[in-house]
Amino acid sequence: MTSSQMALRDPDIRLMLRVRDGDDAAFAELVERFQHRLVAVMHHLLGSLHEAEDLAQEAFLRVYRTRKKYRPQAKFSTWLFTIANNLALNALRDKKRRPTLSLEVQESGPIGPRPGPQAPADLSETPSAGLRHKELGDVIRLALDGLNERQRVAIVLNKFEDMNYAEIAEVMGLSQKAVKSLLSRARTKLREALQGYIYMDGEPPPEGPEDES
Amino acid sequence: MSEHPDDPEPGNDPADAELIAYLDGELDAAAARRVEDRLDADAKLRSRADALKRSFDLLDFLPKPEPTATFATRTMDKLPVSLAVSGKAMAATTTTPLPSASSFATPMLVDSGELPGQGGFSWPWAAGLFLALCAALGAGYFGTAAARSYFAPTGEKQTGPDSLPLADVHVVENLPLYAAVDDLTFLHELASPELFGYELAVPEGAAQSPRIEVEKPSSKELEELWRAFQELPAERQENIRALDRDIMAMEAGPRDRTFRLLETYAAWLRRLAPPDRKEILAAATAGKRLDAIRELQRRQWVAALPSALRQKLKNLSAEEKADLIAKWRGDEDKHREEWALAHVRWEALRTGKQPWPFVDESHRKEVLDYLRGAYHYDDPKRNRLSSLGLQGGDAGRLQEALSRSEKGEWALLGKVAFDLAKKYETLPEPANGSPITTLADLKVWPTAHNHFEKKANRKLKVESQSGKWPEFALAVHREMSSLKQAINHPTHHLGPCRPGEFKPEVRKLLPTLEKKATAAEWKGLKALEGHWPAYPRELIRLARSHDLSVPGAMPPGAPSSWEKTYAPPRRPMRPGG
Repeated sequence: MTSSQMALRDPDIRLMLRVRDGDDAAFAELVERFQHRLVAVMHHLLGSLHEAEDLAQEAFLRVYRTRKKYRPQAKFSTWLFTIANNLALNALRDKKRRPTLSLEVQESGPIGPRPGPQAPADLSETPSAGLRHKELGDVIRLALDGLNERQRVAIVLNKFEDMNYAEIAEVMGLSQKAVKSLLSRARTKLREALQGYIYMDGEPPPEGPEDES
Repeated sequence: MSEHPDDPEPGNDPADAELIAYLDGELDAAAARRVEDRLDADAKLRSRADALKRSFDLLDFLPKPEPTATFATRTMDKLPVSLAVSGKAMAATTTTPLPSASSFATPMLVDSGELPGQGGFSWPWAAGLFLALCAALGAGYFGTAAARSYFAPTGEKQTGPDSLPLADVHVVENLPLYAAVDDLTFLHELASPELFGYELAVPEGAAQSPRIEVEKPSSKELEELWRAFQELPAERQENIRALDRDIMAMEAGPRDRTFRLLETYAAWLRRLAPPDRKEILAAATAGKRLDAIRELQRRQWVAALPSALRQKLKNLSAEEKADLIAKWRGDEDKHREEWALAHVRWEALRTGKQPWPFVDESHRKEVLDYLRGAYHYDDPKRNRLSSLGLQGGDAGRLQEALSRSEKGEWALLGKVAFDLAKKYETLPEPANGSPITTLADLKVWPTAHNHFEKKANRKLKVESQSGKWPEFALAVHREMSSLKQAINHPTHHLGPCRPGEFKPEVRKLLPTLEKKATAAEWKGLKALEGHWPAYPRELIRLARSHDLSVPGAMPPGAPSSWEKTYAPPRRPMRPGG
């Protein structure tokens, strides 16, 4: 498909081509259009609105800085989320390297590394019947945080951007087979982490307990 | 992009993967039919599928975040081009005010398409700035003799860009960024927290955007830049070449940050009102230019104050106004510092213990000895710390931290030690304790000594670093490298670059490092023996990557612990000041 054919199909590509040609108003329109989706995805990945906005902003600025090299090869959103994926993975790895949960100090002994971060709460505890919505949100947040960086990105794109395996593969630079495997592991881990919360509404599991193997 | 793009997830069950792909509607008809047959026949599998679906649906309970109301405007305001035009105004017009090529006094409107790339961190708009500067200077726009010596044309005619030596191509390409910079010392001051450095303070190893490689100038644009460069006085040309050499000799990380600083500074200059820009560019010396930048930033700071505070200033005399502004800025700096330290202090308060590594007397002494040995802050002849800036610069900050530590509060000293180690490159001193820090010390290397005796301006430059280790030796190294002469005399080096030449405490570290390093890493280090500063730099890099500290050259204790305790949260860079 040629650039002009792609542009005809995707209005965002048309906007981006205008940005490439020096139209800053078109860029403002792209920011307006994508800010909600991008900030939401970053927030789901990082858990903090402040960080989400910082990274979303950086993603937009990268789009702007590289506008002159833009060549439409896929949907604009795919390109934008590819940039966002790189930024998010870096930020998540950075967070892992420098966890902020604990600043325990050692009373004595040689200067050396301190103990690692505290483990997340045990999610297998049975919840009280009156678990509030916000608390449930916190539990799900912890479950999401329990996934590794790539699993988290794949799940978030799948769930909140409604991307299929092929689109996720393109954004993350993986094969579709790898995405299938990644999502499978991520969904299994989520199920394990949220096991105690999935039948809270009193509805019984269909046809007896499932195999826990 | 990803580290292991196609690795299957460990512990993954292919049957689960197939079931989930089915739930996601990703299977073809035949594969979907097979899963449905299995589901029909297996109640446990149905239960499992239901649990997988429900747990995925639970994600809908996560809060639905929305960007804050100002997000789009703030994003647009970060574009250098929007510094003159607000986000809203940009949406309404495709024309952008740019400095005229003939005069800064009358901005003109040009079509955005005329200057491809203007507005981003790319060279063309900066080239416009630079060329406009040259045009303005050529027309006598700046009135001072000093400005003329800084920028004015020599009038010498050149034959054309084909005569450009290869080494100058890079210099000319980056000319728009180098044009308003004096030298590396000037840049060092620009990077200070009170000017632009605070924006660039990204900790080592933290996620940060790599420098975007922008398109190279076209041959026509290169020719214009080349002409502008050729018209500069020979001495200024040489200064710019030296600046380029100094920057390109840096390691990748510091070099990228330096380019970000240059880009930020150029963007800030460009957004200034013409008289303000003139004030900075026409300053007679680097010191006066820095003073002008500080003064302008002070004025910008005042302009950004809430109106109630600005009102307070209105009725004061000039002297009272200056005092009050200095007090407010001092308070702000203090608050910023306090905030950066808050998490460290909180832990100290919570646990009733001093922050790492000041947990006992011996560790406190280790850090104090390191600071004294690395920066010689109490020796006027060897002191490396800058005292320029508000509240005495780095020297003043360290003094404040030391005085607080005497009162039993160590958090600030930890933060200052951490920040200084990022800002000042420290290399291990030689075993004899007498590093090369003066021209007299250079007599052991007659080639270098004679070179500086013959070249007065080069001598002046290295002498500005006299007494400082390793600054003086690095300045000599840079100069001699540029001459393509042998850097290391067979028997004399500018610094220790073999195991036996280091102090015993550094030598003791080597076996530990050898055990931790890979064979390839160790081989790489051995290959650099006899090369200064390459060998000690690689030693430090390897030690850091294996979480070890090189005594005297790095703060004592595991580098990861310093990072964990004192690194600030990542801060996105703002394109404008």
